[in-house]
Amino acid sequence: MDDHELIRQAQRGDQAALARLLQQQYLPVKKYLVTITFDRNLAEDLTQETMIRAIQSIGQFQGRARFSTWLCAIATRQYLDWLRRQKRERRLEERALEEILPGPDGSAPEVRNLMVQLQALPREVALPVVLKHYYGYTYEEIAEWMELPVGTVKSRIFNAVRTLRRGLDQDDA
Amino acid sequence: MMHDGKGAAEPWERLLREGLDGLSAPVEEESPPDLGALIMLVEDVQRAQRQALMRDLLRFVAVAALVLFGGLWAMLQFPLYYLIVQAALAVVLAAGAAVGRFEGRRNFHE
Repeated sequence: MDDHELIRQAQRGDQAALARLLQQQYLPVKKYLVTITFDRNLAEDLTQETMIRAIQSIGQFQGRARFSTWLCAIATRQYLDWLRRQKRERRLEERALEEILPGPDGSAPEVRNLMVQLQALPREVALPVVLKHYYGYTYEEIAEWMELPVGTVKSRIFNAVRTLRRGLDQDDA
Repeated sequence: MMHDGKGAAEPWERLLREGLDGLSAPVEEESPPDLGALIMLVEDVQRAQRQALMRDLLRFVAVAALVLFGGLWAMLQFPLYYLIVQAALAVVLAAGAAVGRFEGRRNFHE
């Protein structure tokens, strides 16, 4: 059974079809969340919240984007909500260097350096960089997901990329 | 999942790809949750959603009934006061609408 049929059945109230869809997308969503949060435990929590939100709003899925993209949009909003909650409760502090995930142990030093720099950026700045330069989403899509003007997204990405490039140049020097 | 940066031209983008691929690689070795557990999750979430909807609907009906019967009771018990309050309400609403329109027009011309 293809995804379209599963989605149709899920929207008609077939719980098994919806569960199957979510099962197919569980790990891709979690992988997506790991790459935007840089935190495996948080990614696990947010994946579950994303699944719950998807169950609640499956009726609103109109098929304009792919189902996986729709889930990514939900996951991104869950992450942004989490960031806002953390800020409101003043729980979000600078990440200690040892908390930063520098990628696989065998990775090249410049990869590890870039990952450290990326995670040192404020989270709401690192997010659009990953969405644009790793996932290839458009500025408009990112702006819609982050509820920001397109110009703000562009300038955040521009400044962040400049910082990352500078860091690499210093590394090379 | 969207992932179209294969043509990443710049060195830093290649490093980013390599780093994030490495970071998320362990997830590929995990297994997704059991289908039975997900069906239970779907049932639980949808049941809670139906209950919340029913609760909201009941609350709405209760408030509407209260307002309606309160109005009816007031009309039968104190018809004069009722008419005065109705007229005052109509004047306040009309004035509010007029002010809103005026403000809207002024903002449009500014």
